[in-house]
Amino acid sequence: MKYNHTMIVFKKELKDIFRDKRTWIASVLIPVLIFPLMFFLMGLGKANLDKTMQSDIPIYIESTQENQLTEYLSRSSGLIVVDSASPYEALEKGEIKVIIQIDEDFQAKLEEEKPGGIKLIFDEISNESSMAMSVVDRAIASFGEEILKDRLEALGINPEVLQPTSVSYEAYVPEGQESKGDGVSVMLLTFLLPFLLMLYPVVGGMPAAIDLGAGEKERMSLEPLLSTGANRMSILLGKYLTILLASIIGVITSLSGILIATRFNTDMLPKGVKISPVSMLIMIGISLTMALMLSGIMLSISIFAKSSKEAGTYLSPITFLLMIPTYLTMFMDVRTIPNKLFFVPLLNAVLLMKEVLVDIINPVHIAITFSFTAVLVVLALLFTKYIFNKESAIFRS
Amino acid sequence: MIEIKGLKKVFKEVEAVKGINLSVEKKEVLGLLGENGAGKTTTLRMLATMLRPTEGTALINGKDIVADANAVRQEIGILFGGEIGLYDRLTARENIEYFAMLNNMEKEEMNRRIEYLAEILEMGDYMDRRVGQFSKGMKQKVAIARCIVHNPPVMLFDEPTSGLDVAAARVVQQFIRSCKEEGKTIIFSSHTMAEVEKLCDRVAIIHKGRIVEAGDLQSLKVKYGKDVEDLFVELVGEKHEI
Ligand SMILES: Nc1ncnc2c1ncn2[C@@H]1O[C@H](COP(=O)(O)OP(=O)(O)OP(=O)(O)O)[C@@H](O)[C@H]1O
Ligand SMILES: [Mg+2]
Repeated sequence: MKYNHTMIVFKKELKDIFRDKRTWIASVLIPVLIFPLMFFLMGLGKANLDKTMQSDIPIYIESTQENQLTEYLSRSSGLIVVDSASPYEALEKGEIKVIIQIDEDFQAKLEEEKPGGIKLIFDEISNESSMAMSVVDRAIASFGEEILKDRLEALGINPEVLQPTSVSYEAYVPEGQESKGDGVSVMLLTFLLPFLLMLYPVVGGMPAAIDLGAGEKERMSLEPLLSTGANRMSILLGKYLTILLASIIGVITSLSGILIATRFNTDMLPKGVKISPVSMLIMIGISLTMALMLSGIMLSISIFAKSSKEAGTYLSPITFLLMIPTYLTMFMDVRTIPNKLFFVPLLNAVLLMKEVLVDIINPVHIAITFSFTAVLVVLALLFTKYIFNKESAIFRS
Repeated sequence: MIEIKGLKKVFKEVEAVKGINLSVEKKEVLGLLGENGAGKTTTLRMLATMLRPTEGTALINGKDIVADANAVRQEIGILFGGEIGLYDRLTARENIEYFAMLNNMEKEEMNRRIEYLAEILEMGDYMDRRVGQFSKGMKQKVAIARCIVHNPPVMLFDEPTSGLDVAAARVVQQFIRSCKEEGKTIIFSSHTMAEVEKLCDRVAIIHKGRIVEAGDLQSLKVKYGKDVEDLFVELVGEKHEI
């Protein structure tokens, strides 16, 4: 063939979709901005919380008798005892974080060496109040320890006698690997990255898919296009490649968004996380096969639909479909994933990404996942071809 | 030239075209006259290789629409009515170039041809503006230029003036006349007799998927002794009432 019709279609479609501001919004602007924005807002909230926690916590003490605890608490740093005419209202307003009720006979019991009753009253709706309560709790505990030490000393007993063990903690890091940081950051990372790599091929490719399939029908340009000298398969391939590229751009921009986000707010993401080159390669491979498959599926659905609106209705559930495996696996233990789960399409992709993110390279899992996904890609492409050759899909009325 | 041989199309429940035979000579304009649902669009879509015939075939300049679909598409240009089907975000020139390239035109030839068409259709002022804001008449001219850019010997028109105002319809009719003068083979479908009379040499009346009468306007008048308009109503309208 003298002319490469696929390239002609591909170039034209690229020009066309990138002149559409919807493409820029969906494939570039949103993915790049959403994470920095999200992290920024989360950071704001967290900074605020930290600030209030760093200043002295206002508490109110309800007691009728003089006692040692009241005195101890008013001396302890980080707490400030305030007076209030209506402490419960103040608690509700957040002016007071915790109310400490000390039993009437507290001091008497203390002297009798019996447990004295204390009640901590907090606002369960307020995060700050809950956190303040644990601070107060700790202060009371150290008060108790001091009393205990005094009593033991009075009895001539070394306090160490009562502490038979001393425990310390260390995460095991296999040789040649680095620490993944604490559990929370590992979970965040192993949830967020697979989530993005699954979802963004669709988010990035969807506007293009709608426009190139149903959009072409809607503006009635499909018939003239199909009557040109180009054969259908070249036209289809050109369109497919355009959507694939838009999908990949979606993934790249969303990952750049994360990178930008970590610059904004470094403590929202695990520090010093290093993804090894092998893991990186596997992750990219999975995302690419997802894009290959989803571009085909989106294009065939879009060609089947009569209008852009109809295509949008059919396509948006795909996003939810892809969210299911990412949420399902959110709390799954990566060390003990049963082999059989790797036979489940989509789920296996998410699981494999979770594994390689923590440097578990299991050749069996990799082989199963990639061969299953490859089969899906081929099926998706055959399905697209079938739909594009089906008269009743193209001329659906 | 076009030779239609026993062409038939069955959709799931509907037999839209029930085996038609027709031939159109070079330089001839055939009017395909029929009311809504008669099978005009289906017939023209089969000729343009967009639908595969259930039975029968047609030869377009000797090329078979079933066996040699790719080659057939190089021979034809289509202008189907209703919406015009341009890409709003491309300029007029880009719209035309896209189809020229898909029809394998050489770059120089293409540029020459586009200049020529822009001139005769008086589109010079807006060739490099995006089609989105064009008036209907301007869009119509771009669509005309696009369907003829590769200078195909055979043209298929499906109700090309439907939905157009008088001025725009006249542009299209003028265009069909100029195609005829250039010696192209033309099929033109319509459901208004007046338009067919104005443009066509020969008319074929299609009704419920069958050709019920065909011949040149003059001899039909002689044969039935009445106006073709009345003849059309007689052939189509009465059966319709049953
Ligand atoms: N893709 C399709 N699937 C099923 N039936 C169809 C399809 N296209 C057309 N038909 C049916 O075939 C018959 C002929 O339709 P066609 O569009 O060819 O008529 P037409 O002469 O072009 O009518 P109009 O003047 O309304 O354009 C109609 O009954 C129509 O419902
Ligand atoms: Mg029609």
